[in-house]
Amino acid sequence: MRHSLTALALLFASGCGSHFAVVSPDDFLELAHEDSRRYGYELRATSADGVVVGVREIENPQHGSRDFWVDAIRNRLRRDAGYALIDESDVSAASGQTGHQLRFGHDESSRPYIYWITVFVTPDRVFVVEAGGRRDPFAAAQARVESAISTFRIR
Amino acid sequence: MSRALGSATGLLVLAASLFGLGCGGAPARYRAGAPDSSSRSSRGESFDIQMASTESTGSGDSGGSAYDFDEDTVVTALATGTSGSSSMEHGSALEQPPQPPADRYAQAETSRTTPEATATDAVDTSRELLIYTAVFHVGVYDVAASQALVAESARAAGGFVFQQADDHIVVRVPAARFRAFVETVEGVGDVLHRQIDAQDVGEEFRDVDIRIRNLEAVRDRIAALLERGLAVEQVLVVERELERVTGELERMRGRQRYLSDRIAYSTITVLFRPAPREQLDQPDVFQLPFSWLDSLGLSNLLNLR
Repeated sequence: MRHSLTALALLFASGCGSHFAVVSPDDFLELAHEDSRRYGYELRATSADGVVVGVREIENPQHGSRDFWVDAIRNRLRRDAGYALIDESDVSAASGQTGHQLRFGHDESSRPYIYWITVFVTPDRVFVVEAGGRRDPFAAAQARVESAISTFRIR
Repeated sequence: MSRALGSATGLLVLAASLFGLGCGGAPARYRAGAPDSSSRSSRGESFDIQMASTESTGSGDSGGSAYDFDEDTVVTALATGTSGSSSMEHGSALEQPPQPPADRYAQAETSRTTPEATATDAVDTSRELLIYTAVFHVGVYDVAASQALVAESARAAGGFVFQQADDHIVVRVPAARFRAFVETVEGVGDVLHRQIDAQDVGEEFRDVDIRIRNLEAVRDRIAALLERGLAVEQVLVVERELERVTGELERMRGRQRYLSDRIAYSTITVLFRPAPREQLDQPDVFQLPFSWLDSLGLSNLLNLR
């Protein structure tokens, strides 16, 4: 499973224009590419209990800085959507770039959920790695999610 | 008959003049002042602090029903002891509040002696009389636990839960604990926006107190007239005036109880939702030209079908 998603991401890199590679968390299942694209993701993978990891790749023609995109995302989720920012910190990609991770909490149908957004920015592209799910299942998968994000590589 | 009417007219003039001497005040109106300071933290949440004072206008309107408050509904609710309405939210009170000074005053009234006690006897009028209120917008996460923490903290501070619903909680805490309680709320969750107000009601409070004492004096003088063995027509006129003065007196007492209660207990509202854009000083149409930002969030990520 791990190798198949890596291969898929690499396939995107060469055949579909994606410029990243990532190893999905252990015991996560990749979704069909078209299902992910429908919601703006290059790829998504899910655990059996609904923890989902997804990656977006967005062009950055105006060369917005990492701080710009992090601020824009933080404002969008906190001010407009009411997400609670629990924590934030810099993270490193396997390829050496420094990214920034925002860890949010949000109630859906009165139940607490966790939602992480990790942002990597190059002069031409913005990579957004999202991870989310119900709080308890997410806590159980947290180490695997962190491990997967640490494999993120920009090509 | 004409003599009787003349006497009645004289009494009416007497009563009116008594009343006019006692309560020739001008309408007192609540007005919120402009913010005197605001700041914005580095993380983007906004922070407003407002200070306002009430005004007593001096129009010199003497006599008659000159008392005209803008918050009569609230005054009435509090004066009658029914479930209250705060200035921000409406709903039923959830808990029996501890007895504020205003209630102690109300009890004192039932066994009053001369001179009558007023709320100024329960409130230290030599100091600034401030009504503190705070409104917090907190991120929508683990709302049930956050509400429980706010409620528990309020009770620990000697306060009570005034109102509670799925997305908000209103608590009231003794004014002396207000500052410490605000710091507690800061730790409850991700505070997206906060507004703290301090309204100086000292002038209005003292004005109302004076009017009450004057109205009581007028009422006693009118009541004394009834003991003079007046004719029926005269009694009717005097009683009408007595009823009017008593009504005004109750209105003033209600207002005083309301002010005493608000001074004694600060009101803190915690809303688990984003603040409206106008409170964030953002134009309504402000939107970054990157539509993908709008698609962020759990609903898209977790939609697997």
